[in-house]
Amino acid sequence: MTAPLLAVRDLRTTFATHSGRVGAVDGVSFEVMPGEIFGIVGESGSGKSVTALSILGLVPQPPAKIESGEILWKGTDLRKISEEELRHIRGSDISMVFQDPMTSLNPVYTIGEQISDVVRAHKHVSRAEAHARAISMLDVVGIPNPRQRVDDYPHQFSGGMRQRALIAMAIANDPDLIIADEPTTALDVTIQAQVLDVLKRAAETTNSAVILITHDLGVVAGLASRVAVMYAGQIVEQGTVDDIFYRSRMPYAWGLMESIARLDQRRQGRLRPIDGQPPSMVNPPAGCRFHPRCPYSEDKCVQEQPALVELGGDHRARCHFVYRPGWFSPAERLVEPSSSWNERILAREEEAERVETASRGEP
Amino acid sequence: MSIAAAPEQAADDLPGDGPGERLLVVRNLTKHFPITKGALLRRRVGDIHAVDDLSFTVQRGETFGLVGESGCGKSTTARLILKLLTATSGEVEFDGRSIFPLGASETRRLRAEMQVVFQDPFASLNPRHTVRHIVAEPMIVQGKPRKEARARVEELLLLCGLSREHASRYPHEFSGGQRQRIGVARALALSPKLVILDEPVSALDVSIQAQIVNLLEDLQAQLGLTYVFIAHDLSVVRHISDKVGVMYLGELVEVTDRDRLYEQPKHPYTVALLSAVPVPDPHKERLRQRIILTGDVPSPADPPPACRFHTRCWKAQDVCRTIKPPLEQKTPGHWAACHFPETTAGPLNS
Repeated sequence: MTAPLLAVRDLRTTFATHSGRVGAVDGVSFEVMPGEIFGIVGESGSGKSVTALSILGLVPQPPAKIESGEILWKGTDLRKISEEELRHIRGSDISMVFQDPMTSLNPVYTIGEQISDVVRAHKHVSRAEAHARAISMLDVVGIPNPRQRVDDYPHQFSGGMRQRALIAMAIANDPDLIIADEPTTALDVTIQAQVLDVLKRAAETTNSAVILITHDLGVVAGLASRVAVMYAGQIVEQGTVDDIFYRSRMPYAWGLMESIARLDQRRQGRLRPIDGQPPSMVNPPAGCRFHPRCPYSEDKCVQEQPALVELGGDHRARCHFVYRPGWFSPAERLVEPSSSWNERILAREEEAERVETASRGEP
Repeated sequence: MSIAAAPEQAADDLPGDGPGERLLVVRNLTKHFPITKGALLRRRVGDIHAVDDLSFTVQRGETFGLVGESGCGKSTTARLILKLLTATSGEVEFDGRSIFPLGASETRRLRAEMQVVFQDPFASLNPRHTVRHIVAEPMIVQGKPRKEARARVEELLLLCGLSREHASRYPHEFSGGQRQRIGVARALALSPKLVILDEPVSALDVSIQAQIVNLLEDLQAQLGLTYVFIAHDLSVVRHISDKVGVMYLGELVEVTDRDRLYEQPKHPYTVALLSAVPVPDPHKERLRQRIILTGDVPSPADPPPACRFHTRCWKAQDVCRTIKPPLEQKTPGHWAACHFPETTAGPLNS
């Protein structure tokens, strides 16, 4: 097993509001392996962006406060190092691509100057070298005539090109991790396809890992290898993309999957929405945070908060009933007879045990 | 193959026609916005071709989906149909009447029959008015006695999945989904025949979108409404529409039934659009071959000549740069504007 590039352990970030402290991120843990694309999906207010910003110490403190947790970057806790040291990592080892390219670019500097700045902030190179680097980065992200366009200002670029420029900036220092927060939400679909393609190729070129934050399940299905689903500040399910899309064990995750209209299927009757609304984070529901909207909720769900239960491999789900026979999404129930459920659980446990003994055998 | 077919001749074969009865007919609808220069003289130096020579029909009781990327003219089309903008040329017929020549009082009466729901439920409700005031306003404008209007508000709120108590609250007290329900209630206040839904769910979270889509479908079945559903989300459009029109740079490039469009698209732009949308199915995504269009959408101030898509089309030949392909039936009920339409199954079937 390779060591994780980034390990977030029990991260808690709160915000001070008029109605008291609000837990935007509440005990989030995950690991990102070198070179992989890790997806975080969730609806607005689920805490996915705050998680990302907390990693880089970019949440405004105050009103935000990272209450507890470890953010281990190659083994070093980013919360324990100085601001100076953190600045060395930001933009160099870990870079970020934001949703809105217009507000993340400075309108009074050329694209080339802004990319060169990022290079010169971290490397001792001449202006000319940094400028050359900017041109080659623009070429990597597919800007036509990079030699001319490098001297353009952001307003001379279209939305898709600005987002490419941001990706160019993010990979300029050969990062090990790119955090992309809704990188294509503001873009049209044909431009989204271009930008996702560029992001994927940029990550491959620099051999960098990506944390891809999005609300679009399609984007995650196409790009990510592992996924975390967030709801009300917590990870409610985590696993490989196949675990999440085909073997989900958490009613919110499968509800999300089934509530969306499908481009690739004929109409199958009415949509099946999740009832109600996401909870207010000022006063989150007791017990399981999803219980007020969950069609399967029982007394236990109201009283007791479920843990993230290990399901073998990397698959974890936050639900009291994960081991209950037939506990899978309605769509999956139609495909797989529920009698095979117990066999699958047993096979999973055996597999988990095998992996564990194997890893103990060769320390 | 001339584009300027006589209107009489076009009467039985406009895009979107079917066995049903026409409620809305749009003929050669065009809107150019002038680009002016200078503060004082405001010389006209060019035109933004927002909507160009659009023709289609919407059948009574059906949902006509209008899709396209930002800036393609979807919303301008909606505003032209509603007479919120004055068309440069062309004609809109609603329920058998041409609406552009109507005078002010007749237009007001007409507005009772066609209503609109906007995208942003935060911006389209007046924050200083109660829900009762907001929903009753169109009825009062149309001369309904206040008392009756207020009684109807409660009925409408219940119809849209809200409760009576909500009437005395203000918009900020509601979530995005609930606000959109208020917007729908207001649109239905005058019992319209046609409702134009301009991106009604795109500002909402995924789990809430489905609630609103279901509400719209229920209301359509209950009240016999006709919808024009404008969206950039092709998945939602496939779910809710009976027929779909695809727009590119102010023009309709393809119009047909829902499943035919998604399964056998004929226009290369439709093919590219469908191939660009990611689907929530990792196995399918791994096998999919994307057609990635190069470049950006050209400026509508200076649209490419002949076929407007030729600058980004991988099938473009000389003829595409010189002769404009008309929007014509390639197979019965399937209109496309292309010299080299696709003949095989679309990108979603492979």
